Amino acid sequence: MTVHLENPDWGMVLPQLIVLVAAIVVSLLDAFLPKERHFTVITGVTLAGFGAAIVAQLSQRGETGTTFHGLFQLDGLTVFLNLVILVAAVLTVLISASYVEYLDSKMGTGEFYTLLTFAVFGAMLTASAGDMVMLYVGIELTSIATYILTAFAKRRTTALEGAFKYFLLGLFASAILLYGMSWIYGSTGSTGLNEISASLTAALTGSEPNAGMILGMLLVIVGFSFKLAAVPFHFWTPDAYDGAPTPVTGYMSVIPKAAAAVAMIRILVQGLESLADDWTMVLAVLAFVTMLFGNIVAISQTDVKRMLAYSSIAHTGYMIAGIAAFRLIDGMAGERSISSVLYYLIAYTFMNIGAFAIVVWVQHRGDGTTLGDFAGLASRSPLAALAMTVFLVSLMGIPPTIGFYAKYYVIVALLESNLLWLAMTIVMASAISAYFYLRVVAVMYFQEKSEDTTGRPIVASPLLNLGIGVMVVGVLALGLFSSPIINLANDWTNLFSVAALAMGR
Amino acid sequence: MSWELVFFAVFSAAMLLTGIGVVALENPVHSAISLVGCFINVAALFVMLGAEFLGVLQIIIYTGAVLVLVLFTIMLVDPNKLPAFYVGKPMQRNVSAIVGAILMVELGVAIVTRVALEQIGPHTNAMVDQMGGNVQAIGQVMLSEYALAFEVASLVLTVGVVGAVVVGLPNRLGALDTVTMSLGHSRGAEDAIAAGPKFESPMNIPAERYVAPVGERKVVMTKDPDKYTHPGETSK
Amino acid sequence: MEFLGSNWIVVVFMVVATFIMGFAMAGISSVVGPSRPNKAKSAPYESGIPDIKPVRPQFTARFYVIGMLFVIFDLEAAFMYPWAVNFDVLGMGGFVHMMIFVSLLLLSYVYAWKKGALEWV
Repeated sequence: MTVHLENPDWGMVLPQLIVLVAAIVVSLLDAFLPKERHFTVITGVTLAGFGAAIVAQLSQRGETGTTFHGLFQLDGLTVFLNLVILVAAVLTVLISASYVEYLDSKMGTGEFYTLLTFAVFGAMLTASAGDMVMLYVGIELTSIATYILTAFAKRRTTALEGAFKYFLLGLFASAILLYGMSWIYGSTGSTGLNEISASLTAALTGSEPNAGMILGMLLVIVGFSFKLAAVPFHFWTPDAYDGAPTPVTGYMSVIPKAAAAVAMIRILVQGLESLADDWTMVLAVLAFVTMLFGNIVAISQTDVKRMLAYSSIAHTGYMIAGIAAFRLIDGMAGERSISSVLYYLIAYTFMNIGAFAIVVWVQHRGDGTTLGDFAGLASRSPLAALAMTVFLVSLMGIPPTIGFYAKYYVIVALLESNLLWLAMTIVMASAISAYFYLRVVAVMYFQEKSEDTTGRPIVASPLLNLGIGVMVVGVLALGLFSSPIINLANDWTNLFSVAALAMGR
Repeated sequence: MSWELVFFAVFSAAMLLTGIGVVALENPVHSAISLVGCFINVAALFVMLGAEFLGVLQIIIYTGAVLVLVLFTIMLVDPNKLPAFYVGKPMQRNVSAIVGAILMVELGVAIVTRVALEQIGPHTNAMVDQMGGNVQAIGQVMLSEYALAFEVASLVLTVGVVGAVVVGLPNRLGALDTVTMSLGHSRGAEDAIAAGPKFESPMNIPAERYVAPVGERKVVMTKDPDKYTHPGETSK
Repeated sequence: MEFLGSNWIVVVFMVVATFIMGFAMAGISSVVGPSRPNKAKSAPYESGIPDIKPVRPQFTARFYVIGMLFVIFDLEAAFMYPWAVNFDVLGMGGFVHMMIFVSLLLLSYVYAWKKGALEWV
């Protein structure tokens, strides 16, 4: 028996490689650089790494292929998701820079960015995985780094509590996910997604799926629902989001969620597409419950950070609804469903990180995160209140913001798949969400702050301001000019041609 | 009666006895040691079943690594609170007994109703035999087909180290300035008195009651007069 | 019988030999060495009062960091074992892969070292 070692195509993995090198450089700088120069140098290196990776990723548009024995797959989905993750990473660096600088005497800049770059690397690997083993390893890398970032403010007990819950439930989710993957492996004989797809299609022609396949599918969905924070697997979310430092909350509401969403799309759409009739039904129910629960519970929250946590649960529901719209028409996949989810992810990146950025901004001015702390923000700092209004209106889904277009595309995809009831639920859930989003706006504009509690020095935060500006522009512009993004998202269908090519080999 | 049956009887009896020991022994450290015995016998059973790799992992990971963590955890708990913690509440015991019984019934049902599924895919028993055993098969597959996942696994471990550093270290000494005082230096003694009591190695002091006397500086005493730094300065 | 015919019998011998050696080292010294206990010698602490409660102290969390680092580097051994068994078959390619793996872990070792996780202050 000789072992076949493939010579990998390094050009294909270039963006990931850049981020990995950035992560290693950041960790070495953290260990060796004198403390005073940490902040400038490490933030610069991190941003440069992410920027270079974005350029490399953009240059890969339209390219397809597999390498590393099929563990790594490059297709439209990879390119789009990696761009979403990298943009979210850059925005995270922008909004966390002032926070990290402020706390630098107590905790390191270096550790923060080391963990962040490793988490981004894991998420990018998940987006480009062509194999269940790779998906699992990538998700774990992201999750473990995120657990630690959640516990970053370890002197606060709420941070420890949130991180602990997140950690334990996340481990359960990983175990369930792995168990589901082992069932899929057992019933198809392969871990490669393209091989699974081929084997399932062959096994299912003229026969019903066996219990092992269905069990594997369900367990995988449960595992990803934990990571995505879909109801009823959301119990860790409010505490973890509340306990984590606010910039980290912004990060963890997007990057690990994008990684879990793309992993779900990879396994279900690329691997288990023959079972689409079964899993779209499960996902539709999951989406229905998640949307309604997230929005209804958010009504009773008086803390803006916690309210945004429940709101992010609700937005998970909208994304899952998009995946549930997936249909096979005459053996071909309709492109609308997954494109709408991808577009939703980029919209969600801008508006959600934006909302958390304003919370960070308010916290820097010596306030907490409750509704009372936002009272009268419009008279104190009109620009911040305006930006927050833009983000909240976008989260609600009102034109002409990006949030409206995102929901619109999901609804169109649902209508195309005859899921009228789910589309109606989205509209209804958005109507419910108007209450708690607009309440924050009303508090900012029409309520005066009762007492002055500013005891902390105001932190100068040029990078944070830059980030907020970028996100406001993004939320307003990317909705009106959505066609290039939708075109890029539509490229995801070339994962099937990669599969056909890989299987023909 | 074959030798295999004898070995099986010996290993499984030892496993059961040590397993009972884990829950029955009074001293938690003895329980942990009993768990070592249990794990080793499980490893032996794995080897008898032809799953050598699982047996080895059982020893490397469980008896080697996990047991160390279990022992450390026992050491971290306040010994005076341990008996109450160890016995548990009646409710907890009842629930765990019920859950244990359910799991045992499940295992029994699974064993009675088991069916051998057809082996599909490339990694069959025949392939493993051809490669010369499952350690060989796993090693060859892991470093060829799954090489990328293998490398990323080391990054997962790296993140684990960073996490241990971030979460685990009680005081971020790297972030503090160090003041070195020397009794050999003419001003060392006065500075030492001015700095107040030493606060080296706070072994038994809870973190919340621990106050560093000189701002947030670490004070190091040396005999060497050249190593002296004034409290106003910092040294790396 | 196949089980005894296999080369696992070597492992069994090794385990037995290890046990015999371990017990022998502890046992012989207790038999051969002189043992003349008296009351003062076997008191728990020679010049103090006898303990009234368990003497085991509560450890600091620092031990746990060491424990975790140990676990992480112990897992590395679990990855190395199948590579070592297949060293011949995997050849140069396997060696390069393993070296990348080890150097990434070396990075984390250097990191922990420089961060002071291995120091005892």
